[in-house]
Amino acid sequence: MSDAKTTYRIGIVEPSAIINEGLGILLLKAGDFDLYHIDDIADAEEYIADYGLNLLIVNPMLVVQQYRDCQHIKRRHPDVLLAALVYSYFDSTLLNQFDLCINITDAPEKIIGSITEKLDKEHHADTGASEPLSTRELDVLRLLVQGLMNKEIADKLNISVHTVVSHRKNITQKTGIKTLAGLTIFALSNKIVEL
Amino acid sequence: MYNIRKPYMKPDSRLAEIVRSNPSMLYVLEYFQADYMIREMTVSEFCGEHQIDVNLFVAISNIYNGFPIESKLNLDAACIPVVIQFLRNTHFYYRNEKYPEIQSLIDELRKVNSAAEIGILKKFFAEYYAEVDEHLTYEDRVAFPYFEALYRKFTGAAGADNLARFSANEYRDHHTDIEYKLDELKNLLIRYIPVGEDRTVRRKLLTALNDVESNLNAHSAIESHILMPLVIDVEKKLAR
Repeated sequence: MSDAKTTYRIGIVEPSAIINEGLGILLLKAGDFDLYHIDDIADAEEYIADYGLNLLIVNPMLVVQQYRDCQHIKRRHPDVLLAALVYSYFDSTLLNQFDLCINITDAPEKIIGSITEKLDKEHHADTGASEPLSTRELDVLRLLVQGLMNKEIADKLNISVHTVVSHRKNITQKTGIKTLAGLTIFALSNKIVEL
Repeated sequence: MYNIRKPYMKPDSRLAEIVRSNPSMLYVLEYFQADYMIREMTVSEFCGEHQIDVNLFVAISNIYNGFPIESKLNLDAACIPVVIQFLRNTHFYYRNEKYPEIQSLIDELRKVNSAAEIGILKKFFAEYYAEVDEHLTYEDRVAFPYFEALYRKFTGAAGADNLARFSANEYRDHHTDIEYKLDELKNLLIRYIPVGEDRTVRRKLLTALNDVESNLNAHSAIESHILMPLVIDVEKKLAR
């Protein structure tokens, strides 16, 4: 139930306007993405620099035609994921250079799913599984809500500050709530603390 | 509100038809400081009369109406001051109308529901709003003046040398945080605030939060897909 969201910035390098726009609409409908339509692979680097793209979806044909531009991007921006947009047969050695393949015949859910999964993995985002808080996490939450600092909580529970921080991270992941006021409301409402 | 098949605006669309089916257009017209007795005017005619760049008007309207953004807009640099004025007008709306409305709905909620959580919610909102205010002030005092000076330099009117350097990353972080807190506020109201005799007020409050959320989303889409590309383009041309 965690709602901690990240908006990923995706560039689509695809000369066909129909495919470019169509994929764009699918992505926008399904998820929280910022999209950039890029006409030419040679412009891609500019977009990466200006907008901090997380993923480039590229027609593999362009990679064949402009091999050097692509290699250049891969070298200069190893943190940007590359996805192949596949709608005809390509050699597997070519496709292996990509971090992920999107087949034009895939169902939209599958396309969105694989893109999100890859990006979340790369960015260590949480997958939003709803789990109850552990006893230790409840302890930390109670003290947190009482207004104690990490150091004070650590001393009280005989654990390290580092452990407190990691409990806090887990609490936020599990509840989807980041702010102290929000956590207080959560704790009150679930009778974890009383006023 | 839930009409999904909204017409997509084109320069030759009849503006009245678009406004009739896209309630968000009322905001667009207001932020462009345009009154409406549109009669049978097309979008181009309307823009001609109000001296608004038609491509800019169409791009902004379609963002407000929930359509995906085309990245190659090829807008003229002269749109920069117009977009900034538009955004300043949205700021006025947030500050003087929408946030005060939300504030008073929270106060109303407190009157009909005595749960302790609502007191905390009020505090939460105050902190959130302080952050929004800080961001709006940052845009008004740092980001926009920097863009405006850059534009003046571009047109040969004046230099942009003595201005605090604006940071696109800082700008982006602000936004993410504001969007996050607003989402958390809704989340708390839907999931954890104990229910009292407050159904109507709560609905009004959530509706107001949804309104401001979609308005803020459009606001940040305009910044990242219209204003920033224009500014980056001008910066590049100046660097040559």
